[in-house]
Amino acid sequence: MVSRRLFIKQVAVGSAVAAAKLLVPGVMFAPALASAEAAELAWHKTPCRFCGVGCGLLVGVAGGRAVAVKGDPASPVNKGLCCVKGYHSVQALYGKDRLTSAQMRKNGKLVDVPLTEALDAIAERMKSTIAEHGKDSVAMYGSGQWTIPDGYVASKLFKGCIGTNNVEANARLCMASAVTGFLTTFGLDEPMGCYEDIDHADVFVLWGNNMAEMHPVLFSRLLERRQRNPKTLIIDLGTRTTRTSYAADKAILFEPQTDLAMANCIAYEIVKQGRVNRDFVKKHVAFKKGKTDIGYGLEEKFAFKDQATPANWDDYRAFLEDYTPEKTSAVSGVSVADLRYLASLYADPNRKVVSFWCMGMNQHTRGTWINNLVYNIHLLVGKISQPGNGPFSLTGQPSACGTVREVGTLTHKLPHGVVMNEKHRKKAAEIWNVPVENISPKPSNHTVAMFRALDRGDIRFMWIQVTNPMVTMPKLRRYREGAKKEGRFIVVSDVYPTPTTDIADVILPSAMWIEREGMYGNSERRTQHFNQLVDPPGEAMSDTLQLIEVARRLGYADKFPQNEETHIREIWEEYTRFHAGPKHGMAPYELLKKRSGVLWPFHEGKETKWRYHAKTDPAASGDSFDFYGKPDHRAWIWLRPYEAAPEIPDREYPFWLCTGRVLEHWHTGSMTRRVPVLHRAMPAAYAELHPDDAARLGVRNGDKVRIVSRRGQLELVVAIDQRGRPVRGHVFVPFFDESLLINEVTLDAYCPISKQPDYKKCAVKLERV
Amino acid sequence: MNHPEKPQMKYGLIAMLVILMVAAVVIIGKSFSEGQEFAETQWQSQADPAKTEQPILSEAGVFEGRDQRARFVDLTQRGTRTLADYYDRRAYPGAPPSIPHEVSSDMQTDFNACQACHAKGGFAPVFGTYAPVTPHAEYQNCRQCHVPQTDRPLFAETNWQAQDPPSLGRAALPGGPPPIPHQLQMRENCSACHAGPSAPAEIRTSHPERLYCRQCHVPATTETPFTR
Repeated sequence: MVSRRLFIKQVAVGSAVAAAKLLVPGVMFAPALASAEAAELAWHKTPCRFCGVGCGLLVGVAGGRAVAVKGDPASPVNKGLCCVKGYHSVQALYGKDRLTSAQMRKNGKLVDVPLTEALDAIAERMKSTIAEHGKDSVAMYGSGQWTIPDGYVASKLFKGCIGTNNVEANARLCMASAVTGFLTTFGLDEPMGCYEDIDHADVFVLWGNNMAEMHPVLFSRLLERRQRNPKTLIIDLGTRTTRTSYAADKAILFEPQTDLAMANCIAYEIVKQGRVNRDFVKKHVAFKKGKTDIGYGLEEKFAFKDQATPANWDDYRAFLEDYTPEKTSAVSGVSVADLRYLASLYADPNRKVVSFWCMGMNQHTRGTWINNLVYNIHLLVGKISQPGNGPFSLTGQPSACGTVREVGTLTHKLPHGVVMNEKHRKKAAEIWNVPVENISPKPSNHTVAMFRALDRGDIRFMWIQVTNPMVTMPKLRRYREGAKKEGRFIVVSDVYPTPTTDIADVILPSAMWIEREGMYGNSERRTQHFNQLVDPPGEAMSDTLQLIEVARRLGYADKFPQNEETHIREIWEEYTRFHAGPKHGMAPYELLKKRSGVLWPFHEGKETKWRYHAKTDPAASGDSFDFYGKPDHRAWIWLRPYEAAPEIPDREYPFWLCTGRVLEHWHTGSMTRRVPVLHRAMPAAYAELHPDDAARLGVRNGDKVRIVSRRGQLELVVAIDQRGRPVRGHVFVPFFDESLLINEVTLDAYCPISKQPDYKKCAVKLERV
Repeated sequence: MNHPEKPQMKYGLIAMLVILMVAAVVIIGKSFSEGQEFAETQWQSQADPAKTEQPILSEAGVFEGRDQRARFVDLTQRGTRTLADYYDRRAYPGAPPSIPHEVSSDMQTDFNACQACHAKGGFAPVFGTYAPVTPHAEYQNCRQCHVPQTDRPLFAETNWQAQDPPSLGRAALPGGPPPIPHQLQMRENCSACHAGPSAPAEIRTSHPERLYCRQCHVPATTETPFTR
């Protein structure tokens, strides 16, 4: 690629000796370069491969290889700008150790085999496992990085044809609380607004969301909004001081888990100050109570079902009495003044407010609750479903929304609705052309339960696509040892060797991103299509086609009759039958091919930018708000209390451990670490400490500490005041580094409603090494 | 002396008046603030939250640029300085540049004098050029590091060899964002050297309107490629 660079070599005439020998190889002016390259490069649109923001890219292709990237000016998401990962994303295709041929474990060693042999072996093993142990002994574990067609064929094969609900995706680990939050409050998944909200809002409240590093392109849109409209405020709520805190107008630090109390306190103040939008609440809101003291999912076969009981305004007021600023300040460590200030921002009728959040609220043992509680605030003041007003749940993966949430590749879901609902099962059976009895009415295993079942032996076969659970599962050792047990058969489809391919019995080489055709769906309900732009290496094959090949070998050829040339279009047209109508209509294939993404609901030729308001949403009835997701056409305010985290620092384990990401790396780094620029900027994981804690431990930058929890331990290099600064008594570790697996240490407690684990809170001790 | 109790009464009266006045101020002030928009009063009391901790400058500096930008003359204006001039002032890449002009006094730290031109930049008619902007305006003792030069011969010749400055054009892909080839310490504010008329032409950004440089430009911390 370096050879492809075009430089206008010029010699700088230096005045000094040192400068005289200086060759200045050219000036990097983007416009000049683009025109010089235009003759050779063909630019094609695609969504970015990485995060859930879903930036539109233009990938430059020359000589059959992807060689350059620029932001797609036609994309309303990023308007021509990318982040460092996006600009270098195409380099992730060309790592030297790309998987190019199938491998099978023979006598304990992985050896190359022809792809057809591997596909035959997978089908044989599935048949024999089902015959011996039943349908629920096979499982599919997919990803929010699956394209929409990948997830759709997986769901159809496992739920419709084989008849097991053992279909899960890694989005359970990142988005499940957002989904249950939306469903419990609004009855329908995904945000009501879109990114355009940023251009209208006056206040941005970031709930535990280090947006400057995790959603940098959106964060730049926030900064631009503030520059154009100087009264704009960015408020950072977090448990750690980050780059986002420094860019914010105010940063508020709180004790882990106490966001629950803070959200209720904001509601308390809004009520107390008489700032409730009474008209909105009277017409569009209902009050509900759920179960309390609901556990943490740590028991082996933990089960929980929430139940909504009606409540009223007086119940809600009485409930909020526990969350006065004084009481909340005592739990959260946030000053009374700051709590009142936060409430005043939401309450001010002259300010439009957008709340953003991502993993901080979702990876939370009360993840569903905190999602509900932030919706409560917006509902109390009626700041929702209007340009510049609304709660906005961000995603981390390019198609967590498009594939996992919309196609429904979770154990309880169908492309439309849930397996528990007979009408929904009938609809699925009709479109899939399978007997309705095939679809089991009972959800089976969510992700943590699935890996526990694999460990116990209830699941014997697991096919993992586009994800790396041997880095991302919490309390990793148990699940790794479970997967390696005798009698387990693990198939892994991936593009590079990872700790997950290390434990595989069969590895399938996958065609990655623009090496095949597909669609992603981003956080703002935008569906984005990409063509195949380059050839996949060796025998690499798309995940969609891998699934179809195995389905045919299992005897479901009639359900998967797609032609290889047009299969993506055929699948799209079959899938979108599930969503027809004003509530979730999807854009036709031709339009997706043409435009840089289209928002759903797409109805009668129009995108829906703001749902649940008659002015902007064709599905809404009446002349104002209509929360049609719930049978009573109201959004539900939930009375959700503060409950402590399952494991709190004590004498023996005195530190909180929080895990997360960094700007340069995405997910488990299996792609971004193979991009030289990104690896060179951030080569290894580290343990971030507060300077005072470091001093007390007697460690300095570059020294090592051992982080020990009740589950495992890990040695890491100390980083003081580098990327961020945790508060005293906290330690932060990024999870991208496969040779420094912080998930050996984390706890597998999860939200009982969403079943999403909490990677942000557990107790550890630190030892100087 | 005729009325020994009188001064006491006077003081008593004055004290009472003072108490009444204070009470009136408190009551009126309180009712005033109670009557205000709830949000506004809260905002006023919160407008400038005290910074209790020193920020991590390598992280915060890129945003400090937001305030500095307002102080810059014009980020899009082009000057005449070249990269060769830029390095000519430095003993090695990253060294504090020497002062190429007369200084007002050797007795002071010169903060105000330096500030006058180097905080905001802009054309300095005396020197016939655009003044470079400091990337670290928070330091006040300028002359601690920056010294003027005389044209006297060296005390003794030197074998010092300056390291080559980082090469340009290090973008991984055509049109891609080049990584940051230098240390960030004291150069956290990118706009100082990469935007405005004093920025050397070769390293002047083509897009000074962007607010978050490090979204795309990341430091090159190691040369070792990733291996499993």
